Amino acid sequence: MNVNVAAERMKLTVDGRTVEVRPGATVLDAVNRLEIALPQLCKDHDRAPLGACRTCLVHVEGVRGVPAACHLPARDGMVVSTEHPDAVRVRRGVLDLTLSMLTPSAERDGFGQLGGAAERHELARPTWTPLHQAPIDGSKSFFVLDREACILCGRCAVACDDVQHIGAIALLGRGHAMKVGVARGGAMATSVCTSCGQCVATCPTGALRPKDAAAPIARRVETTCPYCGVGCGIELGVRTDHRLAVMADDVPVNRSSEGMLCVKGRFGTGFVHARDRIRTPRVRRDGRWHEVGWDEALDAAADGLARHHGRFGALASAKATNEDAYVIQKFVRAVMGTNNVDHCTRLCHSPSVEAMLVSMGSGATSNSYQDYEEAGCLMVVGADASANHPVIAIRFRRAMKRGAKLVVVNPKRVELCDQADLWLQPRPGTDVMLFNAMARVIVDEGLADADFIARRTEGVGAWHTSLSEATLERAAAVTGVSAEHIAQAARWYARPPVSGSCLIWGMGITQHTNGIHNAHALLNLSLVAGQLGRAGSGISPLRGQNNVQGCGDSGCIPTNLPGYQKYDEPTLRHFEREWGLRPPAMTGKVVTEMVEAFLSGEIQAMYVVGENPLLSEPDLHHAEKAFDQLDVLVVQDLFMHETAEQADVFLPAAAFAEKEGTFTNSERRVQRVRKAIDPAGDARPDWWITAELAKRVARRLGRDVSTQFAWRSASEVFDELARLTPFLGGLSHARLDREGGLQWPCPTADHPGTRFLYGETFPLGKARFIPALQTAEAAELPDPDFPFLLNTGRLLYHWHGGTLTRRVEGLMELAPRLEVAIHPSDARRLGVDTGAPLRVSSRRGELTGYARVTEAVRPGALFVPFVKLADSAANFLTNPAFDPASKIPEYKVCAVRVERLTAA
Amino acid sequence: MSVQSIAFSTGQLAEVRRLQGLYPDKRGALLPVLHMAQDTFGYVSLEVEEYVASLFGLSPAHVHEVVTFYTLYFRQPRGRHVVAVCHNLSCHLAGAPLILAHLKERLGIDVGETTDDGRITLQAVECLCACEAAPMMQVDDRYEMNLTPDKVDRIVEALR
Repeated sequence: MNVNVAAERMKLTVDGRTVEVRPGATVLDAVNRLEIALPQLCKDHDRAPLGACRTCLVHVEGVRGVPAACHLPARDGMVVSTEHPDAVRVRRGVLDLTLSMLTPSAERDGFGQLGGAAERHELARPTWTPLHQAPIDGSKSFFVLDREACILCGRCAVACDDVQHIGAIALLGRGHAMKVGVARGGAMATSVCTSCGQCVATCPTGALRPKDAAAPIARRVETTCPYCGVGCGIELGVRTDHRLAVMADDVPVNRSSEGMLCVKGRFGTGFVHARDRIRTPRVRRDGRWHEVGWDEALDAAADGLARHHGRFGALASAKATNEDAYVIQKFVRAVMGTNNVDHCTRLCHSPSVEAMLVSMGSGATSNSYQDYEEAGCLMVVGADASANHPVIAIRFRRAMKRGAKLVVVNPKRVELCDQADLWLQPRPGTDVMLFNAMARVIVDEGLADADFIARRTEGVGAWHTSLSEATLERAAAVTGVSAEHIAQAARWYARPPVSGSCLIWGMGITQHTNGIHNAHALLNLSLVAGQLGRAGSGISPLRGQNNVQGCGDSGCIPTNLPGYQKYDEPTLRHFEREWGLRPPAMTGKVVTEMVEAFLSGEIQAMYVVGENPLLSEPDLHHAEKAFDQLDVLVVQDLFMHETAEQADVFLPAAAFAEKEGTFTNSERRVQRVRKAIDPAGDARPDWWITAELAKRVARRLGRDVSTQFAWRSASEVFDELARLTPFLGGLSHARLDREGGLQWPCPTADHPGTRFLYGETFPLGKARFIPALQTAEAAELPDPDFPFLLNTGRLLYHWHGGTLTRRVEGLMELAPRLEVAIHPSDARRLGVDTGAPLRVSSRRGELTGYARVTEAVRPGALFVPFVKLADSAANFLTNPAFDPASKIPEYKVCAVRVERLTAA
Repeated sequence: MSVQSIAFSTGQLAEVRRLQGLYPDKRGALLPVLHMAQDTFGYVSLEVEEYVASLFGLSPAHVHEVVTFYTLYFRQPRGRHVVAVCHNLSCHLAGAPLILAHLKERLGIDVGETTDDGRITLQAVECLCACEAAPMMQVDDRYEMNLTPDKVDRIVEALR
């Protein structure tokens, strides 16, 4: 057989040097391979060429003229010159004209890449003068658009449209009048721009540039974003003054984010340098804080905690690393003699996790982000991905561009509704009926995956009987969604036009008193349609915190040991052998139960790490009363937040950019967190603090655990976690550094990681159908005294309660005050316009906010984000009633009344 | 024109779908659909841009980009008739400046403006490929050639 070698590799000569490229490469690729400095202003290194700037001009032997290298296909044997006098002369002319479009400015330090190229072509001053003068558009909080420096290459428009799929920026007009602008031609801030900064990162001339003073960057450190559960790769710039640059860069090789970022990841790391970071340990004496050394603080904390061995609870942080979480749970179990350790998942996805454990035997997202893009139908339920998981929302938009159907189920008109093929708007609390009716359509119309059900599941009979009530007519009456729409959604989900279907859900499903029923109804739907266990399908609870997956994996849950292992005799013995101490066998308390146990005295000492329960618990007045009962409260965090104010000892922790470790994201990918700068003041990594505390508490209890808590680095902690957790067994910091993030299960050092779960089997063997019942819609519904239904959720520009984002100036500019979304008809009745001050009160408390009149909410409903701004927080209002199975509070529904306040 | 009135009829929507089906990527039909919108709603307002964007699943900014690039989309209300005088080389040499000045005086408007009664919008445009009969102008969709001021008067008179 004759193999054409030329087709595999092509050999070119560039400036007298030989270079090999693959078929399909351009001449510019060959030039860049040799690292020859050739201007290429409009070329983003990981995007297709635009061919707009005409600066990468070269000479090719036998080719007429001076073609642009970016659009010239490389061919075997080509002889290319970047230095040929013709190429240099014409290129210099183009650079001269380009530079002539621009006006130098004192506010700007040169023209980025263009400045360098002009210098190399000995262009000190352009020959021509600019035709237009345009003022700087400074309407965005993090960056400016300075059209005096814009060369109309269009990279920003491509970044906005093709990378982020936002579509805010376009090139308007033609000829001399052409300019970068937005729809309606107004200022940037009037557009749909989400401040993600993708355009700023790609701009070659600094026309789009961050607002902070450009400081020299000493080094760049690749790490993982500290905000949501998507887990994007970010590259921190460390300035010569040891501070982080305001803008982080994206990481194109990161497999979870592929070079995409949102506003928080790009511009939100400034909290690390906040003026009110606590830099020294503190001990409270006579009601006042005293700054002390680590020894004194740790001894004070240990004295207190040792008094309450067994009457103790800990709240770990889903914002900290796997290593931090592992050490905390080991301390709680091995030293404090209790399994009372939990984290914030209780308040977000515990119903999902509990339901998935019962149905399948594992509590993780089954698919990868890649599967969203390969799916033929995406059903997104109770999740505002554009605000809370922006980079996942980009994946959805990419899928839709490929032709996937998007079905959105949400009582609130979130941004995705406007892009959806079908939007179902059920009445809050009626989700079970909705999904049961869809399941019935799938069965009745013969769309069920009979083979999958027979081979891979059990319990279908009893479940099928439980659907008898869920007729389309009845479901339409209960949910308020038309029978036709329910049936259409079911058909698309069961039989998408291509590939499989992904089911994606958020807090809208879980934060209800019937949360676990909601989750089961969804899981049943995926089972009856057989939409999991292969590429392009799967079930995804969208995780909120950066490491909420990892915190549970590492064992910070009261129901399971690390790796979700049970408290059975062989496992306990195994841990005892490894630890030299036996973990208790009795299930511990979840966080909401712990708070109740403060009141009964069952728990008298509490260790809270990187959490702020006095902002995140429902019914805050009640929670404050409970915390008052504690004898000892030790808080370990970055800031003196609401909970820390009540503490006896405050231990200052290092932020994500100040320590080594790993985070595990929503697609089970374990990724490295790397130290970029030294901790602020005396702050220390959480794992170190907890280990020191553990040794001191143990000593007071007459035990020596110095060998069990003797790690010298985060990497050693990870090795112990991996040794005890079979699905992490093949991972180590060294391997993650070498190969990038890997997805568990990854049991051995040569295992490549796992893209999707349940391909062959379920951890339980067969998956179980669990009948889900439509119970009362909510524990508290509107009545004459409290006639409005309050819904809570999150915002793009703030992170959960806001402890971090309130300390990032630009984010505060974008969302400075608490807004109460209200329907125009209700606003009319109250006589309020957008911006009017309102008082919202429930049976438990009240808050002050500002009206935002919008059709995004239904008449009779209000929406308030749960961020705390100016002492107003939604959780003063919310109802602590919880789901009996998973113990999640009903944040999503409570009854309130709203009054207009006269402007002060 | 109120915002509510911006919607194609059922028949027009079928035509939009037919046009979209003619191209590998449906956005290829953007130009003809924008022309349909202009004919239906009189001109391409910002609201019309947004409506058309929604028919294509495109961002309003992208449609704004297209509309501002081409000169045959009117972004302001235009008169019932559009008189477009060629001012390119052949017509210029054959007396187009005189024709244009005459029209401006007779109609009492400048180039780019519309008469108060909404009858006529006046434009000056580039070559319309009828140099053999210069000076010439386009009135709505027909050519008027070998113009003189008298001939222009008669043509304009006939426009209602």
